Amino acid sequence: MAVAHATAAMIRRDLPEPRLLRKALGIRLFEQRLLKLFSEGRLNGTVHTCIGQEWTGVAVAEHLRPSDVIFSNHRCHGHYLARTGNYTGLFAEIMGREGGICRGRGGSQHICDSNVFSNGIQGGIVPVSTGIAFAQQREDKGDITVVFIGDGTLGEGAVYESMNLASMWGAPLLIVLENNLYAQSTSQLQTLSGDIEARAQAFGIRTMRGDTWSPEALIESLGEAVNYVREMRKPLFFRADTYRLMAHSKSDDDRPRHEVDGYWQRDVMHHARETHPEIMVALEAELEAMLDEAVSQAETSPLSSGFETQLLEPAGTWTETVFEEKDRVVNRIYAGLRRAMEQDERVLLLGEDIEGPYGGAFKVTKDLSQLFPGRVRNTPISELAITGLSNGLALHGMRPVTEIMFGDFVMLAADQWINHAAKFQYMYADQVTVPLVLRTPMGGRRGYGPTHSQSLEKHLLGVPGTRVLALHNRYDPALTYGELLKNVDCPTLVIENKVLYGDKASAEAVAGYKWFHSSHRFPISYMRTKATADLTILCMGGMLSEVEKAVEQLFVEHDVIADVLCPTQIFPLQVDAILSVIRASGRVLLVEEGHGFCGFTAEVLAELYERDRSLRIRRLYSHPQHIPSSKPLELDVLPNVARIVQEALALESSQ
Amino acid sequence: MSAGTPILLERDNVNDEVVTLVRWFVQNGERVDAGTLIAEIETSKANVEVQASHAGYLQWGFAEKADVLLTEPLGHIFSEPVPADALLLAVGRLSEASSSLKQPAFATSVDTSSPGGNTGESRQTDVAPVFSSVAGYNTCFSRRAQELMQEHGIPEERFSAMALVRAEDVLALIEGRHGKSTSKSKDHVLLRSSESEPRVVGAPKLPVIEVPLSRMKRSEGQALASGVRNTIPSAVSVTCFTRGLRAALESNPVVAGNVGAVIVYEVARLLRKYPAFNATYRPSTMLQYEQVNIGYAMDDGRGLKVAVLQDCDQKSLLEISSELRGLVLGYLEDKLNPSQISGGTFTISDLSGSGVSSFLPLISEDQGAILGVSSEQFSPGEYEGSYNLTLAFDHQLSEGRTAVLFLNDLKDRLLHYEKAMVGGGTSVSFVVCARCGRGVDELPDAKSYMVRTSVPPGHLCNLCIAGF
Repeated sequence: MAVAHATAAMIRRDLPEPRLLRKALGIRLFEQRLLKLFSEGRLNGTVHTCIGQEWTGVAVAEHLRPSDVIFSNHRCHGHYLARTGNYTGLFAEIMGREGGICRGRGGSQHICDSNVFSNGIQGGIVPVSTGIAFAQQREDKGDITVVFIGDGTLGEGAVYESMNLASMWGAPLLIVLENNLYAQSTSQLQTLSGDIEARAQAFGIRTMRGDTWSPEALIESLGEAVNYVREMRKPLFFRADTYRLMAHSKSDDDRPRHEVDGYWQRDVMHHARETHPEIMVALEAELEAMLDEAVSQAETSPLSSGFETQLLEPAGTWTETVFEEKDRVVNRIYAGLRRAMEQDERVLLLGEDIEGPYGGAFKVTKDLSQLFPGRVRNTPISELAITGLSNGLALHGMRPVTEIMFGDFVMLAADQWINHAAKFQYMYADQVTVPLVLRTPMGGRRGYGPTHSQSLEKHLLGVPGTRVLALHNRYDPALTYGELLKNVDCPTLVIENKVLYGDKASAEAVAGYKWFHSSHRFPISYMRTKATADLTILCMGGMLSEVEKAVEQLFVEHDVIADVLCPTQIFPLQVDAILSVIRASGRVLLVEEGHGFCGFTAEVLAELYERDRSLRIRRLYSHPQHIPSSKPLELDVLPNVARIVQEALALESSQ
Repeated sequence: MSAGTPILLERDNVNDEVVTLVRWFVQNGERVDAGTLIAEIETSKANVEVQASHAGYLQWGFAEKADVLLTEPLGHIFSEPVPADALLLAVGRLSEASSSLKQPAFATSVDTSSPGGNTGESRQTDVAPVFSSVAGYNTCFSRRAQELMQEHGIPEERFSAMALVRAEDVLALIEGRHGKSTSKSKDHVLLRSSESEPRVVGAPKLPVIEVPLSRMKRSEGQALASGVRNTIPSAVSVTCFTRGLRAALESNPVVAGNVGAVIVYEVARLLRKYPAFNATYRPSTMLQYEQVNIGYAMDDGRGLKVAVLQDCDQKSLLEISSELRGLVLGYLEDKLNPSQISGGTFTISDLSGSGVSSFLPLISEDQGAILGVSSEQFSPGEYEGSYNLTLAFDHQLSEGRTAVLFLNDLKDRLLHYEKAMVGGGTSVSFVVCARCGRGVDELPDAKSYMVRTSVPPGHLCNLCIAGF
């Protein structure tokens, strides 16, 4: 008997104050209600409940200002509700309704409201948060960013790249790791080596600890953490031990029953129900009633509807291209970037080796770091993190222009491009824009070998919400960058071509031809002659120089007149303008340096043929193998003048 | 002068074949020491400074901003001072090297392609594309076209209106010339002229030195050839008497001695009366120009240029006078811009300062006539001189009689200035026939007499009135 008494006394704790208890319990009941609604068929998709972990969200919310930012993950409901208390909006969102906080487009894992964000990509949120924090650092208003990760997230390289950057550059980022011992179904014992806090300490980041079974202590320590980050403007890593009492999503719980039950016993709110039933039951009833109200309120809103509008650019008019200044392409790119930086102080340049005097691997950025101190930054070799950081900067209103040194490395940044940059504006229901510019050189013909010569744009073409440009030397790159950076209305990938860097940017045409450009924002360049052409050659980027030589040869040696279309914007494609031109000859040869399968020319062929079956179309692309280092062989693998001429003659003589 | 040491550049970057000479730090011909900074060049990787390898006198090889092949020396260093003409020779190369881009002839034109046929479905994309251009196209010939042209002796100027000339275009011309209509096919057998041998223009049989013609001279030749080919030229002349004309014009405040302006002014108005001289020939058609734009040919030794005064018939004598003065100045200062030398409908070639008694001016491209003004000539013993006005005209558009009427009309108008200055009244001793210039005393017989006339102002002898 005495033992039992002692045990009960040991277990009994004082209840947290009512306000906080209401918050935490509200979250728990909300999560339980979601599971119930799902079983009733009143909502779809999936939910990841945070039952058992509620106190981390509550504790953090205690210390944040409205202008601080939270970036959470798939298990974000608690973090959001603790901050905003918007049960109705979140219900409606998860139910896929227009009244939801993201109009039903983001759902449970992709929320954006009152400076609380979340994305369903583990790890990828950390560099984005770092970017937001870094932007806050530059603003100097004392705001901070909190990012929530789990112990499973520690498997992602993005976390380490970001910690390195945050520590190196000094970003007011609070990383809260909810250590619940499991990643989905996998125990930490199988996946985690070494020590959790040592990971952050290795980057020189201060660490702290707490747990959700001592809410008051947790709140206090997190207060200290928030203050540290706010005052010192440096990152801090907070490990919050906790346990997820329900399944990862729904019904997928294979953890040993006794383990889970043990944690139920430890749980503060569960225990409080036994020790203070009178308070808890009443509170529960009140909250359940509030949730009933919230659900019915949410269900009055209609289900989400409406497609995104596709704005197709009309054909437009054509003007002769006249260059005001003739210079190498690399210098025109420099001029465009410099002018943009002069005119808009939000423009920042990030990339590897871009600071002067080195000035970039291809000498594009030259002395910009000296002209604009603090706005041109060398980054570590972390393509994923620097792109994610740029996403964060863009979300927070800056205009980052980030260089990926070789286009071959752009796939390291692909997750940030596809799953973050491209999606934020849509899935957050236009509450944010992402004015990100990513620039990278692609192309071979320099003997650099298989991993430094590729044209990989096809893997990033066609992602909704983005734009892809390919510069060439017959339309001033300075004008392209100027136009782009005046208004970056969506994430834009700009492909520069290595071989073209050294060429003169001018309107010099093959004898007997002249260069025109269309009236689009990013124009199509068109080399034409007086007479009607026998065929049109369409290419982009670095292929233009080979195509020009081929056109000259086609005329002089074979009496064949070909005109040339070279669009700057390769996605979305300005099909109407292209069609208006090629109708005259009815024959078009598509040329690209990349691989043909699912490549740029495949798409153009499909789009043209879908609209006009009478067109005769042929394609020329790289031989379907990897690019060898031996330069003579490389020049044979990639499309060259001889093959272009051959294909053009075949097209011209075909019926 | 001994051969200088060439200044060669190192291959800084394997991928560069061509670098840009950004600027020189020393003047052409200046003395340098070993290690003196002489130039800055730009490669695709970085900007590189070039130092003199040893002391001497530097001769530039290229102008600033020129593109330099890595195999070429940037310049030379000589042990003695570089003579001035050696520097000048380099200058010729400097201007050639820096203008590697072709300069097209400027002609404002709005080029609209003809609407293509509808492909059946009506869609917005069926609207024909609209093009607006600034400059003209260069003409380029395919290899087979060039072979055909050489074989048939067809000069390039025949195709000056085209941009790209192919074998089929040359064949079309040949067919048109011989009046044969054959089916157009690329593999068509070469047409032969009535002669058994194809005409080929080969090299002359005597030893020669090749002097390439300058771009300016070549384009001048092209324009003239085109004019000659399109016309059947003929010419008539009249002799005018200068007696007091120059003095009259000098004292006229409006004209202030600018005789050319007066001629332009009067010709402009006359062309409205004789539109056949302000026109150009096309098969079966005379295309009369709606504007009167008079080109004033000038050549003071630095090249023949024709400065065009637009809409001369709308302008006053004062406006023409000042505009012409401005154009002459522009020519002398080499500042004429392309719009000032294009668009003429008639040309005046004024050689009145050169001493020439008469000459046959060539009708310009796309024109129908040209007026030549010769210099004042004096017969021995005479104190009054005379000068010739020659009108060369396209006989396809008009004929000698009209030309003479034009010239006499002009002559009379010029005389008017003189009369206006001198005053209305004339004593008998000043009465001369406005045509033949004979005074009363010089009339051949007693029956001859003078008649007072208003057109031309003054008098005419009865012989000139009646003719022969």
